[in-house]
Amino acid sequence: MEAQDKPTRVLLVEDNPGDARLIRELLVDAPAWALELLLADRLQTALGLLTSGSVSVVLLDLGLPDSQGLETFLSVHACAPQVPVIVLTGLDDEAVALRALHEGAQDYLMKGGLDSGQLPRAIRYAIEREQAAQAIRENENLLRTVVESAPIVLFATDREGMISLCQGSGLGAVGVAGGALEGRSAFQVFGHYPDLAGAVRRALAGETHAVTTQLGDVAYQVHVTPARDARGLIAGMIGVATDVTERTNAEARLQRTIGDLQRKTSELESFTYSVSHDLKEPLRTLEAFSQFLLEDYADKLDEQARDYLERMGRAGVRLRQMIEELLVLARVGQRFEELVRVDMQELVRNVVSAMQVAVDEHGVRVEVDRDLPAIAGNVYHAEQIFGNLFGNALKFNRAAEPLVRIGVRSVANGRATFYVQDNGIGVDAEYHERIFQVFQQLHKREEYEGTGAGLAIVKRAVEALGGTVQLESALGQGATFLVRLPVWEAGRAARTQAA
Amino acid sequence: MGRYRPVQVLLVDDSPDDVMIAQRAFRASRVVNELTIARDGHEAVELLRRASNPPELMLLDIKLPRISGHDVLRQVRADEALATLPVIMLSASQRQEDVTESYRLGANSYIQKPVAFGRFQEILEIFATYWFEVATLPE
Amino acid sequence: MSLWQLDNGTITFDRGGRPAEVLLVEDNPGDVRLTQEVLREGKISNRLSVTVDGVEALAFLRHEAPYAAAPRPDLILLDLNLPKKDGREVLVEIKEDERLRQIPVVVLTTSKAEEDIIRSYESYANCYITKPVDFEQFITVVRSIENFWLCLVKLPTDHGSAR
Repeated sequence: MEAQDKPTRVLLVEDNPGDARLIRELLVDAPAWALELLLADRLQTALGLLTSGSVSVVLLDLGLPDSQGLETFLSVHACAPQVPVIVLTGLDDEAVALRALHEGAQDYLMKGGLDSGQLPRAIRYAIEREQAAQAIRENENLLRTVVESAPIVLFATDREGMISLCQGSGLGAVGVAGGALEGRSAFQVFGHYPDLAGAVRRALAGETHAVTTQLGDVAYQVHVTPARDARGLIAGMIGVATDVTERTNAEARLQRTIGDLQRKTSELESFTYSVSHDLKEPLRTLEAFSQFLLEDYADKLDEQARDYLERMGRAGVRLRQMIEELLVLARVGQRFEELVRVDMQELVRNVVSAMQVAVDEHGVRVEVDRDLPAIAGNVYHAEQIFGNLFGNALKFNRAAEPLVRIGVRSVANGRATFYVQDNGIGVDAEYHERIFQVFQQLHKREEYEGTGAGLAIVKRAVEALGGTVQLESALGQGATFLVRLPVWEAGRAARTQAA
Repeated sequence: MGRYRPVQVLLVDDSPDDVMIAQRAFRASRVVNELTIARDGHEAVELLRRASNPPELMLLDIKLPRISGHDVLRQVRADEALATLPVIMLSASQRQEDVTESYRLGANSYIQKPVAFGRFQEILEIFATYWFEVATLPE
Repeated sequence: MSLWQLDNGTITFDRGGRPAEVLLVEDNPGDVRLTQEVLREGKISNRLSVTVDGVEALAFLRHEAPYAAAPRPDLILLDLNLPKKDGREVLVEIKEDERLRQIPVVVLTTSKAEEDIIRSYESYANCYITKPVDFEQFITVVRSIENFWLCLVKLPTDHGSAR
């Protein structure tokens, strides 16, 4: 033990002068640390000294003029519960001394057998033990404060499920007072809550477990774990329950909102489909009859009239293309039933061969990787994604030796990043976001055909499959579209599209 | 192979513009035929049953007033006298449900009405060559 | 006429660009080879499966051994005079089968008999074609079949996979 700063104040309560002198001499001989000895020969004096001074330890003879036996100890202990007491006994007082130990005395010593080594040692140990006990008490208080103020419930049972602890402000939510359930059987108390009783049972069987359960209006998330003794055997269980009612309610609200949104989106897309579909009919009339006019009355129309009619016709063509693209757009946005395995190698091969005429016309060299992974998705959507990207790559390419490459850049975290790359005119960084909007075009109409909905279709189809699309490009430096899609995991059955 | 004589075709379509477009395309096609028009399903079935010179092939739209093209198809297939009449759906719809249902009800084929008139003429050429030159129609 | 045109703007693929599956039920090897040649050189990508008798044809359609992995045809070309099971019976069985009846069946046969023609249409054959004896005309017929059925019309099996 290290040297102490202040002297240790020992209060000796002994009415027999002979015994007192003996003890004083034993302590005077004690080496190593500074001791200050206070003497009291009656209980009242002792109590007075205890209340006024900072006594480190009490050496207590139980037989005093104004108090006898256990009463003596109890009075001293009650007066200064933090001060360790060493009971001094005679040969026939051992039983009382033992009882004093039970009641909180640190130690007892036989007056007859004291020696100069034993007494200082006993004092030292008594002080240390009290300090340790003090530290434990402080920790317990801290824990108790935490438990009582946090919105949790801390509970523990013994090996049979008898509740030894049930505290925490989280109990307030179910109207139970702290400590009210202690001493009762958990299985009886949780009788109506099989989740909770089951959790306690599992913890007592050695399993760490978590469960969310509803107690009336309150939702708790409960973590339980076995409590083991020094030998590692299960001595009971400990549980912590957290009030998650607010979170559960928020989740339910979120689910409802998602449901509403999905339903509205689906209605909107059905609506869009119907509208586009019905628009095609009068459009057919416009296109056809302006053409008939041109054909049948060619000689009766002057150049101006023919020009008017041709403009009308071209507008009709544009309108038709836009409607058809809106139809596709609506369709890729519609929910589909299940994700299936799509062989991307085959799909890309089919797409390229379907556009062979354009490829040959433009003299484009096409390179396709050999290792395209299968994706979890939908054939129609995949066709629209790669068909439009490939079509654009062919279209916006006036390079001397046009080249289009399709492949997979990486596969990670269940997703494959495909790329469609061309060496065409590229897209200025400023427009990288905007080009995905419907009917957005970055060039004059006469320069390139098409109405510009292709990329909007790509984006929506990609998103419907749960993927992402982005563009790497700079003006004059070609373009690479990166499409990330979920890969098909082997052995997985087709499942419903994720929300 | 087939005949080269005027073939009687019944076109069932309630859109006067589409009818006019079809008539023009038929006139321009090299396979001679005579086109009869019915504006709704009831008229069509009447025409089929009563005509002295009944049509040998029917082009049938799905979207019709009162009863749909599919209803007409059911009636025609149920009628012993008309059961073998070649019926080709000619509809603006490209919905798979409409296509499959048509075949299941006994339509011989299904053509989607093109929006561009130019396509219509191309389509008619292929259609007419196939049905009036290559194929044999039932008597 | 290609399945997709560059200036069209809208991307649409019949059958998703996958080759059309055609089942030819024909026992005459010469006719089989000729049909294969013509379809192979056609502009619409297609895959021709051949069965040489009626029993095989139905096994193919019903995915019975050894045709467990057979593709579902988009179009059936059916000869009437077949060994083991007559084409007329095959036609009836196809059109009475819930899972098969929507597949277009084109009867492609040498018979010119009125009875065969009527019976075929009565059994819901989608079309009846008398095979021309002339070589050139035969090619024209197959081309026309390709143009009409694989290129122009909408088939009930257009969307979704071939399985």
